[in-house]
Amino acid sequence: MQQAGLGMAGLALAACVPAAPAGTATGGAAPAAEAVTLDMLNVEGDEITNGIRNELLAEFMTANPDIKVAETKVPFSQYTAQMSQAIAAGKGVDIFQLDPTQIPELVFRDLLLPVDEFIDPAQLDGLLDIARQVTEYNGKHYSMPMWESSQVLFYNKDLLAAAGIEPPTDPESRWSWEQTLEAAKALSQPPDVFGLVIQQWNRPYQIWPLPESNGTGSVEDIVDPVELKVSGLLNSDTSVEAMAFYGTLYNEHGVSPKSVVPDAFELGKAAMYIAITSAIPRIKAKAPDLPWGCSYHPSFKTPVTPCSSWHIGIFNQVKNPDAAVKLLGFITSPEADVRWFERMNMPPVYKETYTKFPDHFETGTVDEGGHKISAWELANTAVIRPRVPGYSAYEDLYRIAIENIVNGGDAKAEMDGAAEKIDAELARYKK
Amino acid sequence: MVNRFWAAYGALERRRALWAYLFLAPTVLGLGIFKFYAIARVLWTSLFDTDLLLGTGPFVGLGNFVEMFGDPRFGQTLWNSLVYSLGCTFLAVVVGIALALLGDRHVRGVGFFRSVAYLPIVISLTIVSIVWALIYAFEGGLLNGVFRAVGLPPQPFLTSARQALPAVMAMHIWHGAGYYMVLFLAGLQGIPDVYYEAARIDGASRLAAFRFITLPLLRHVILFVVVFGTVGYINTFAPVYLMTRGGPQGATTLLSYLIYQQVFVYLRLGYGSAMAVVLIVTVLSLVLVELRLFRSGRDF
Repeated sequence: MQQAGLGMAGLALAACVPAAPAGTATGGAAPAAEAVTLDMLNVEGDEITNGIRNELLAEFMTANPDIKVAETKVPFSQYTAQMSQAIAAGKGVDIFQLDPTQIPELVFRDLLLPVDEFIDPAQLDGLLDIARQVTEYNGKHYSMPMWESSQVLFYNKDLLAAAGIEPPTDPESRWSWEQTLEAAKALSQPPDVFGLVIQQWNRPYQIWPLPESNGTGSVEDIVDPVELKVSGLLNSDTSVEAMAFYGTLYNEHGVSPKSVVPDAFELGKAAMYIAITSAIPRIKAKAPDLPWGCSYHPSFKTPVTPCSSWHIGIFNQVKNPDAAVKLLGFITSPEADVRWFERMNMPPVYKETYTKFPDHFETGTVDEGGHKISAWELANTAVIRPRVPGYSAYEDLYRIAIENIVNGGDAKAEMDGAAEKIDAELARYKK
Repeated sequence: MVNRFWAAYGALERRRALWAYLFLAPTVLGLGIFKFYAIARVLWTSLFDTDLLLGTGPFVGLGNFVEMFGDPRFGQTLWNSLVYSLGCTFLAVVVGIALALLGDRHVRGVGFFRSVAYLPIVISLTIVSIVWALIYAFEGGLLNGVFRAVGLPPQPFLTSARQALPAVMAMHIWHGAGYYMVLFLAGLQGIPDVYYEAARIDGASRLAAFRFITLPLLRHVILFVVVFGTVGYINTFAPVYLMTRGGPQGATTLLSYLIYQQVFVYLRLGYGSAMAVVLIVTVLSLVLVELRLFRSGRDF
């Protein structure tokens, strides 16, 4: 019965397979002349992520018996290096998970297959605007998103109630970063309880919104697209001011821990926790009795929040492009989107998925309104990361500067140093 | 008759030589492909601005080396690597000999002591690095828990530019000390007791016996440990990658990590290869100096 259910689900998903490349064989389960194998590279996920992906791949192969998918999973920390090695070898990967910020880098080297002519335009049109925006580079689409992401402010209801603190309940009254710091100071009792824990504390993905929120400029300004330089922007006064403030959370005020405290929020060691909404199933599983709530991401002058997540792309030298495109469409279909959201709680990428879960996205009556908040942020405050070749160097050098600031380094010196080094790396990509 | 004898002897020698070459061939082939060819390829690649993903790039001659020596990050990294390698090697010798001296006693429980001292080396350095990162953690770390319990202030072991490198070195020495203990133990047990008896009769103190008998007779073992340690420690990657990612402020960035970063993060295969050439030259230079320092007219 269960197998029959899976089979039906597989057929349903197969029906959403996008148009195949012109002149190639099409049709869900139509037998091909010979079986083909697609080598797929993915990030090793948690139990939920791996479970859903395994299901999807099994269903795809059931629906397409002429296509076999050989999947390799690589831990997140080694993923970019492994992906680079596989691509550099010129073989070993046909279709792969990629961060959309890598698109310009791969396109610059002509290593990524544009998918415009293969993907059903309706499927592209169905994407959230912000999700579609990052698939596009130089007028072409190069990937399809698996998930979106947004950061919300989780809080421990007991700890905030004991301190007499009430978090904002609507986006207009969201806390400023200064108000968040004051609340964190009132809640902090290190080393037992930290006022504020930031999930991706050292990654530009989560930290760049601080300078941007402080008036440093929009995403187009982060990296000068003509000159390919960040000097004057990354180390502008507003950026340095925001980063210096960020450093005080860990040093002067000590409201955030300098080293990662595993499961801090779930264990009651963090009063507030800025994290992605996929933390919700983890919090519910690990701390079923913890009274928690959700509020809006803090801001300086303008509300700005991070967004975007993993995509799937196809290697330009793919051996079987039609098979790869079929898989791409299958694993990023609106039906798969529903499944990813239901069990993983990453914000969906298709507009229609949002209409299927009114309790989550309209009334916010489930999961403390966390999904409603993330949907609002994605529609109103989300900013994409810079899209330039050389992003990986930008990200790494910015990460080092963030870590140094967290460890007590001078914000001005660190941002000046990072800007200079990033300029030197980006200069290699000037045509 | 004599000519026939020499002809037969020559044929036998040739057959023997043929067999010898046959047995040596797999090793020579392996070394040739995976060491000498790889080194030659690195040397060649270092002369180009090769992109990792494209596998090609323009010829830049010594341009990568000029850029490297003009980059203050590289200078700091080279210095870190020398401090790390020589510091760890020196301490490995000291700790290894100390453990061996303790383990060489004929007392109850010495077998247990040797086993415990040897234990860390059987654990993967990767796992040890992850565990020690937790031990060193500023919040919730075991060491700082002990510090707090006895009223001492917690220490930012891995987040302080002053403490991070010594902290990683301490972990690495702890991991390898047992292995070096075994080497020194074998060396100690190879020293005939008669030397110590003669020294005692002559009124030599324990310290004098150690200075004038033990150390000179351990010279070959020390040389092995010094060379082996220098090469091994200067190539350290996993602990830095897992514990500090080269930070804070580049304090724990070692050459291997910088090469990884240049090649696999910044995709600069040519530039990373130039750094690898410097790494090879540095290792060779250090080993040559060490061999020279340990050269002696006398042998034991």
